[in-house]
Amino acid sequence: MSMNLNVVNKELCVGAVRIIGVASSSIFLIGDTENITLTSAFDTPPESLIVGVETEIAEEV
Amino acid sequence: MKKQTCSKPITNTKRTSVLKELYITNIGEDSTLRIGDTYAITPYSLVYALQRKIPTFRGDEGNFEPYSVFRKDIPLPEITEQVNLNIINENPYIHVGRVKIIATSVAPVVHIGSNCIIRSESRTLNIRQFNSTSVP
Repeated sequence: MSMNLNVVNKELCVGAVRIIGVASSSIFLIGDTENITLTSAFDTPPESLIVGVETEIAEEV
Repeated sequence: MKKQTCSKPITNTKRTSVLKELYITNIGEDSTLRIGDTYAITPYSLVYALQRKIPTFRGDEGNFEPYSVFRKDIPLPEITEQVNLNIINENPYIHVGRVKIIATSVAPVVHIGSNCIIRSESRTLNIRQFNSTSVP
């Protein structure tokens, strides 16, 4: 099965854009595109908050 | 997964972006600022953020390998539908007056112009180490 999608782009006029931050795999685009795939992973493992004696983290290899 | 490709040459289907003023204060880690057309942009960023109450760092610390967040496959949506896309650009321009951005960081894209494929990935690990007497 297939789908037909017709798009008519008429006038597009933007006055001003104010952005604080563009971070972690995000996009700010003025223009046309076809494929956008954005992924972002943020991990706070059990050792993410360590209270007590300062421990060393894994060394560089 | 279906290979991502552009259906037609970029000049036939994409509009022209007209921007009068652009102010960016800071372009940070792994950031892309692009003025003009592109085919594919694929930023990739790994971040190991470590905060210590007492800021002593040996200098050779930090290793991505023990942490699964840097290794795990991130599942992507599978596109199985057949879509016949027909675009008519009655006005071939996109007009924008002024853009003000304070900062960009960790694999973002600021793009003025047309594009076919953007594939961006960022992985962040956050660790905080405090002394028992100084819990925030």
